[in-house]
Amino acid sequence: MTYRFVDHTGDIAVELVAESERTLFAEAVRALCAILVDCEESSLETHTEHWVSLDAEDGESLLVDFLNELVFLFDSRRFLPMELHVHEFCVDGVARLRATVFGDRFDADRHRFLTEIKAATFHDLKIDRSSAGLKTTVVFDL
Amino acid sequence: MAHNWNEHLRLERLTETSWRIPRTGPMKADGLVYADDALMTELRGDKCLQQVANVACLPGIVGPSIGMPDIHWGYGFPIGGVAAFDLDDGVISPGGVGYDINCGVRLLSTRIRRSEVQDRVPPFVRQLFENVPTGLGRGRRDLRLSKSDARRMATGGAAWAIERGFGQAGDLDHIEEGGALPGADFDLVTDRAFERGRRQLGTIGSGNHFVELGYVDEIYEPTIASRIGLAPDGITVIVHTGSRGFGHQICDDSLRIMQKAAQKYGIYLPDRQLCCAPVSSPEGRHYLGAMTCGANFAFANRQLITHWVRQTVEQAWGMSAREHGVRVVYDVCHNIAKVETHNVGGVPRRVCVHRKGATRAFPPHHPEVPATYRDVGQPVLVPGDMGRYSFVLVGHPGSPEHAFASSCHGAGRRLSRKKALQATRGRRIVAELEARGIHVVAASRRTIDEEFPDAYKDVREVVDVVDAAGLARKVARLRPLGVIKG
Repeated sequence: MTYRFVDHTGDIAVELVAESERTLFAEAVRALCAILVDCEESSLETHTEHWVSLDAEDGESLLVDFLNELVFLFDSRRFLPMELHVHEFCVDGVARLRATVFGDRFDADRHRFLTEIKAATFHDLKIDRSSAGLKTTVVFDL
Repeated sequence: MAHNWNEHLRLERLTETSWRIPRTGPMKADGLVYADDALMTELRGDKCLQQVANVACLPGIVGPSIGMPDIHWGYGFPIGGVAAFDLDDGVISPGGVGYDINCGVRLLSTRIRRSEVQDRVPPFVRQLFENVPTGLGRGRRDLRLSKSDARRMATGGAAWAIERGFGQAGDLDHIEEGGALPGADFDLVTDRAFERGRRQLGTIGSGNHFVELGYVDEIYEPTIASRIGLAPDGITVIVHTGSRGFGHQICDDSLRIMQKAAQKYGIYLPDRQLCCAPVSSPEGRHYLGAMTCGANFAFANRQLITHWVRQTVEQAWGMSAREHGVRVVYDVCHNIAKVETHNVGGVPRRVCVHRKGATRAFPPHHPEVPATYRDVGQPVLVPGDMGRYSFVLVGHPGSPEHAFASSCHGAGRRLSRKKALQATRGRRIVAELEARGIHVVAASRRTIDEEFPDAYKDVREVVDVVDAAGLARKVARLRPLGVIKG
């Protein structure tokens, strides 16, 4: 289970690789945090949490909606997401996520801020499923 | 529908500065890209040409799907894309505007000459950084936006800010649409958008947004420059920002509606980010009403920042309003969808023009050009990177014949952020710029590295193509002295 930043001329793209949908979403949380702050040079603690409850028409929409929920929480509550605890997850038929996201409240004294995120986009978004696991690339608008 | 139809597009040369992507597969119109040989060499490997073709697939497109010379790979529409749609058969797409609704540029001129303040740039930049909040949703403590304020702001735009003492009534004369688009419907804006944007009004944000102090370095059209208030060596300020989280959330909320609408109306989407609905449909009207609120937030935002620029000049340089004479040269949107009248095949026609990373460039004598500029044309503001220069142009007399009277919006990125970080590893960009006489203060060092000058194309190449293609005329060049960024 990994994420890595891949080239995109205008914005930023993140490739996510995971064994399952649940771990893919968890990896997406870590990637989003790494766009917002320098994780190595920030003192991050998981003492804040937010409940997330989303329904979408498919896995791709659920992933974008989930990431944009986290973008909203950062912009409006300064919530830096770090860990995902899934309570309910399904992508068959209607996609559904019920989860608690643990993270920190952004504090410029403890966290090295990198950049704001406007949104996660649907651009060329497809979750590829194979026997090896799942892989997708999400383009973020910065 | 064959999935990879757009990977082998043909490109035909039309003129020295324009290329046609002939209609193929599901395209409903040609693509048209403005570029010279050098720019096209860089574009050939970029996905933006596919994106031009993708836009040409949308229903009701009028004329070609257009790419400006600063075009680059975006999401959905390319950045630097222009497309017009019929009001009855055509669509409106949030992806054709972008998340940062009415991201735009405002240029201020002054009575101050460079020689008067050249040695006092660092204190100005530091004061500006204090006065104009940058990123992180942290606004000014003295600006709290209640819901009823937001409602009035969403309708009033820049005038709302001026009524609260942030600026002068005359500022409105030199803003696209007078600083407020009509048709805003605040009831269509979600609580989430309000909540996300309320603390961000009056902030510039991160990424490529900035406020830049500079001076007029070269003038190509002295009569026009003088008319729009630009004098040799005159101090200028450029403000580049948009509708912040308010607009981002309006776009995000609208995309959810549009995903469903595209299915409902059976619209083929080569990329889900292009989701759209007929302009005349309830979903289309809903987006237009909400987007307009976002656009007016951005006008208010740039107006507030203008006021703080004036304050900064007074605080840092001890000048009175009479002495500095800071005035608005013009304010242009570069992420917007608007209903405009254009001559299509010799017939005036109302169309919904999407400009994403492109600016309007109305020619001389166009009724929507401010009366003071009517005979010279609408100013077009094209910022470059923070190390080189920016350009001021005006709409070319022939501009309506091309590109729905549109022009470029900037230099366009050459390097991805990742490549920019690799190229700047171990370098101190702030010190490098300081050695060139440019003082930079930013909230994040990463932003400076990602935005270092060579990450961008040379904006002169872009502007030369715009000029040669007859989209807009070069009037003046500005050079930076100091920059604040998020």
